[in-house]
Amino acid sequence: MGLWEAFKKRFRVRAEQDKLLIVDGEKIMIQKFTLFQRLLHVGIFTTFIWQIITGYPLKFYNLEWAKPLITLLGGIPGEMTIHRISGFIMFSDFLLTVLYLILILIANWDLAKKDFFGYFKIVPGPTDITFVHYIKYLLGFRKVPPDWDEYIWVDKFDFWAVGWGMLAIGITGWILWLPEVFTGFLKLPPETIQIAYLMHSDEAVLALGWIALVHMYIVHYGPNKFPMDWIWLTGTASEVEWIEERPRSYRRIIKAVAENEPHLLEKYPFLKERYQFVLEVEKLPEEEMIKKMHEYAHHLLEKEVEGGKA
Amino acid sequence: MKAFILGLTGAIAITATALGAQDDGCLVCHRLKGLSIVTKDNKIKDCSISDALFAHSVHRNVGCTECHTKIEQYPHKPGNEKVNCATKCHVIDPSTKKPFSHEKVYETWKESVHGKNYDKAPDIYPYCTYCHTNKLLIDVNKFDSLKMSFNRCSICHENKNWIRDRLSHVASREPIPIIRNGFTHQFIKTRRDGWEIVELCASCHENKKKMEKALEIEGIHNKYERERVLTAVESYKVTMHAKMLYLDRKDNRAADCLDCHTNKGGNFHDIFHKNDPRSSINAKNIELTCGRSTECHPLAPKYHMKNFAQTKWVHMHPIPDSLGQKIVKIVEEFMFWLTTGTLLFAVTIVGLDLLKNLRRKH
Repeated sequence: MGLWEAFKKRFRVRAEQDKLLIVDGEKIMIQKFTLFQRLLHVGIFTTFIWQIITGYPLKFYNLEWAKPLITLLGGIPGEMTIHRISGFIMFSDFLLTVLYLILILIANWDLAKKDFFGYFKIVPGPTDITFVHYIKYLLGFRKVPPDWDEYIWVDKFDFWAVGWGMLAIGITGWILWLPEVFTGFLKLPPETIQIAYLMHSDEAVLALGWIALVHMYIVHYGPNKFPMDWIWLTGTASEVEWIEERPRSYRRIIKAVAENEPHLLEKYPFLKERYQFVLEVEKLPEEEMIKKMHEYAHHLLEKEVEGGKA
Repeated sequence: MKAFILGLTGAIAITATALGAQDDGCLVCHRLKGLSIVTKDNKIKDCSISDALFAHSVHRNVGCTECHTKIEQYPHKPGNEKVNCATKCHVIDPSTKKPFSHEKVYETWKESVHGKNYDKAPDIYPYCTYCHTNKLLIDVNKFDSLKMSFNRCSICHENKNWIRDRLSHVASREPIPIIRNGFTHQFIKTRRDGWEIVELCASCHENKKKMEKALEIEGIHNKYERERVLTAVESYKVTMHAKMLYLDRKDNRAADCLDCHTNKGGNFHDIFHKNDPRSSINAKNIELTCGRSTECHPLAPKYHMKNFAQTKWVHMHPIPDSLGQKIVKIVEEFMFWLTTGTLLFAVTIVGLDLLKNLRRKH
């Protein structure tokens, strides 16, 4: 195998059927994140926590808790050292993610030319009309949640917002760390540092506000996920969750398995049953289809509970 | 009885003098606790002086009337107690063998932004005594590091009282402990720490009424110039410099007001308007001023970093009087609305989703 083939194999977008896992010959799981993707996430969130602990006492320096926290962190020198080391790791994580995306794009360029949004589902695209459906649903103009795909609106927002955040907070962080380099040696105008400071400070509020309100609600303290969605650790979601939360992706995965690996349907009758269900519901109008899928998810859950009891 | 009290106070005054204090007999009355007057604005002013504290103060060897030069009779008139810090006192400066005086510093102050219009409005401009008090000497016996020096000095100098006096005087420039946060400070510029200096300057510069009056006296009518002066403290307090000084009082590396507004090698009273070529923040001196902090920005004067030294991050809020500052203002507004808008959206969407979920459950 040539170098290009090896590279292509390593960074090829996973086929839909590869996302389906059969556990103990009787249970379906969906793999959403690979190990590398999970490690990137761990890198970002651990450094994010440190950045908050070491950065917020500066932002809200005049609040009561700021001084004791700074003392606990080893005074200003300790706080600054942790903030900079953690920031460096966070920025490296970001650069690694950018590199990863570039390599994926190169390795899948043929697919990208064929159907860009179909293969690069994290990129906002036509399927994001679902966000309008979601708003309609929240406001009561729609009876069922949208026909979400693999990445729902908040996944995409969180992913690309980190990209924006790294530009707004990461690059400005470098400028604040090395002001003499940027304005002295690189001759950037004096306003650079002032802009960097304002952006760094405001973006920190924006990032924490968003993560605390939306991201944590979706994956931690929301009624459907409390105490947390373990997908960040395992990379996999249960079938019931996937049908309810990402029905469009579920249907595509089941169909891909049936089309590309038909022998699995013969081996596992419950997989055949799922395939037939998917074919049936796809004939229905969208809202009706979602409703039926939710009912099916509940039916599977009940069966699982009964099985557990037995 | 009266004779007894007079005799007793006289004896105490003599004792204080014997300890080294030069009170010109003023303490006979002023040492009495509760000695007060009613001022013109009907406020009670305490005029009592602790003779014990005075005897251990920096000015213990200077007679009261040597500084309170207007007081020539007993009892003196109220209102003429003001000190003249430019006067020469009987203490001989060991370095020049001449009578000691703060005249040079006084002259600098007189030319500075604080002194030049003092006579026009003594109620708003700070005189020497606004910032300087008759500080207590450090007791060298209380600190091991100084005690060691004391022992070393006494090898050659026989008069232990003289050594203690000299050492206390010199050590009073140094807050204890000497090593702060791993950074060895030599004699610091002031006994106040960085944040105390900020608070001292802010006590006037944060007072909008006072500053508006000063602006009128100075004849500053340009709205941007006025805004810059009126927001100076607030605008400094959001900077990294201020936060470092406030959050870690042991770490004085960050620049306080004096670090930027006085010249390197100056006498810390040379505070001039930025257009004055003598000013430390004048364009021609600014690199040297940033570089006075050898621990933080030593490269600024060395490599002629005008762009670095002229950045406005020492007073953060943009005053849109130039294209650069207008851009900063736009960025500031953009970031504010981006943050506010995004967080409002976040609250709304989470609220709606939560409501939907709760309804669905029940």
